Amino acid sequence: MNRIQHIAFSFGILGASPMIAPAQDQKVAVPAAEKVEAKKIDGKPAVRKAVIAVPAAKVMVQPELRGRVLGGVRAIAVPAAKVMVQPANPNVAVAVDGADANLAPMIAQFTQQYRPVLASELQFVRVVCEPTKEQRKEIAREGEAAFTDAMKTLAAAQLRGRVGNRIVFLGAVAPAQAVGAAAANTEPRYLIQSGLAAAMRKHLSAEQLARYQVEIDKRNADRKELTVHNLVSILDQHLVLTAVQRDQLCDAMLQNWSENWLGTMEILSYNQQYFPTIPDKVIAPILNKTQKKIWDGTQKISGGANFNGFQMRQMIQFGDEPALVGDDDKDDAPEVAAPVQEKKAQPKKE
Amino acid sequence: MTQTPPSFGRPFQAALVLAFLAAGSLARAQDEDEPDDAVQVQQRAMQVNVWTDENFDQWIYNGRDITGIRGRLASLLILQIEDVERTCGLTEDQKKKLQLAGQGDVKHFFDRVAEKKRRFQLVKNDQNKIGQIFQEIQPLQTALATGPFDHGSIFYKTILKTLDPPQAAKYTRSLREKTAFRYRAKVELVIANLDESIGLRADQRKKLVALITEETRPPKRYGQYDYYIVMLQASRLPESALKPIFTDTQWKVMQRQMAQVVRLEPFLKSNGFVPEDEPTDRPPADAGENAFPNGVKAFPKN
Repeated sequence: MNRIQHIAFSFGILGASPMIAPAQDQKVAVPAAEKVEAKKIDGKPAVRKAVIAVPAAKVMVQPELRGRVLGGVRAIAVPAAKVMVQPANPNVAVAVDGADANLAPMIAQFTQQYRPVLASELQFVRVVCEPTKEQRKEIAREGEAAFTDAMKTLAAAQLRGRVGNRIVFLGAVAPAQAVGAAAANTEPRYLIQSGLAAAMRKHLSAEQLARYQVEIDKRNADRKELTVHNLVSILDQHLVLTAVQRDQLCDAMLQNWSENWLGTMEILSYNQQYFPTIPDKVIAPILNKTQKKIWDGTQKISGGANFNGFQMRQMIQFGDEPALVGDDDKDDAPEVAAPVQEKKAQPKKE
Repeated sequence: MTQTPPSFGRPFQAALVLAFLAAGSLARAQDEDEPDDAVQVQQRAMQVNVWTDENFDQWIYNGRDITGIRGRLASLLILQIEDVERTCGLTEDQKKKLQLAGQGDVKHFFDRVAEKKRRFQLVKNDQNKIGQIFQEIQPLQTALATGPFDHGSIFYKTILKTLDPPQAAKYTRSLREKTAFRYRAKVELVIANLDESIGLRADQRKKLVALITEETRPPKRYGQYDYYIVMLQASRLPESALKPIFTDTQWKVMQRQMAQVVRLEPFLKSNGFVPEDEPTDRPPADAGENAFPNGVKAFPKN
């Protein structure tokens, strides 16, 4: 799924993922999202490429983007109302058991899409923990298996319509402690990190793990701060805050932190018609009468749900990053040394 | 002349999706029991290609009536004047001038909306042109959200002409802080995105934020390409300053990412996002080149 599709699906516009189309190189007319759901369980095991006509979806076509990806709403006609599904890499195959066969195309797609995340997370481990070559090799090998499992989980969650709820606050070493309701979290990066965590716990020393946890904590703290800074900056555009108010608002929002803000921040950066949802008890005491009037009269959005915050951006902007591991990693797990290289089907994991 | 934007403009698409969501237009256009035939389906989709004036109003006004809109703009103008007064004090005469100027901007805003609506009415059945219209009205949406009193406005020009030197100095300081806050937040976001890609330690992020904030300038205008503008400027920093922050592996990736962004430079420049090639002690930001008559820069270095 590419970026725009992701957004469209995140907001429920298209209702269901086109990647579940069970056909090879053919057009599938899908009159309603429910029928998409029906088709996906037809049992066709492999998808190389599908073009789905989405009549229900009205697609707004920016001229430069025509022919790429389109989200849709009813009131717009779509002469070329097709959602081009990014072709799955035919050489990316993921072993799945019989029960998962219908998920295979989606798993393959996610595997390709999120492999750069695995590479960047391995890189982060390397930068922070400075593992030995042997440690790297083991973590990469087990991390790859965990990655495959994560992609299966993600695909299954996608079918259930419950993919990712927010950008993850990392807690790979101690996920339950750091994330809270960890079991319900299907955010891709979190799933990948959680998978890596098991390998790290197995192969890294306590000192290395501690170092990693310190960095994770700092990363989380930085993200909170930058999110608050960006939201306050957005509010400043609307409410013409004083420097003192900006500081007060930063403090108040950090003290009353909501993870939903992560999801709203980016989209608010580009659409200034909306405010983030901030509890009145946090913001109202800081505003003057005129600012409060504006605040009360502006629509708020509470994103976060099904919007992956930061993490979609880099993968789509810059695609895969095979250079993320150094030359001396070439004899590590091959998929890590060359994360976007074609990968043959792997034996079924017992 | 503007160039075609790069193909990976997710933020625009996100905004687009959000706008439609807000318009409350989401619905399924076909019953489940309709024939599952691609040709019929596409023909039907073509037949419902109808945009109405109500759609246009919805895009601009986001469901609010015109009385509410006028009230909102009046409140935004009061906010702006209060801000200037709080910052540097205003005489009654100065306040009146600013009030009049702001009212002129409000009128100009509605004139622009009317003009875009006329254009919309000419092309509303042309699917190929409607996307362009939607793009063109985005500045109006922003103006309505934050007030049409930005740096090209009559209001802003009146401030420049009206304040005396001591007032201008105070006002400049306030704007400077505001600009610095906004740009730093943006740089932090860019570095967080970079972190997602290449895995940076906290100390690396801190050094990068400091270096880029200090040595580069805010976009001429903020928008969906902020990330690229920051990265483009980072690519111009001396390697001796940038490279030591990264590991060798990270630097390889960073170099490749910067090379990709550099390819966007013509587009970013031609569309007016990139700060001019000037020393960083020149006024940055979307403030344009305005300065107070007494020579006080509206936006000196952060």
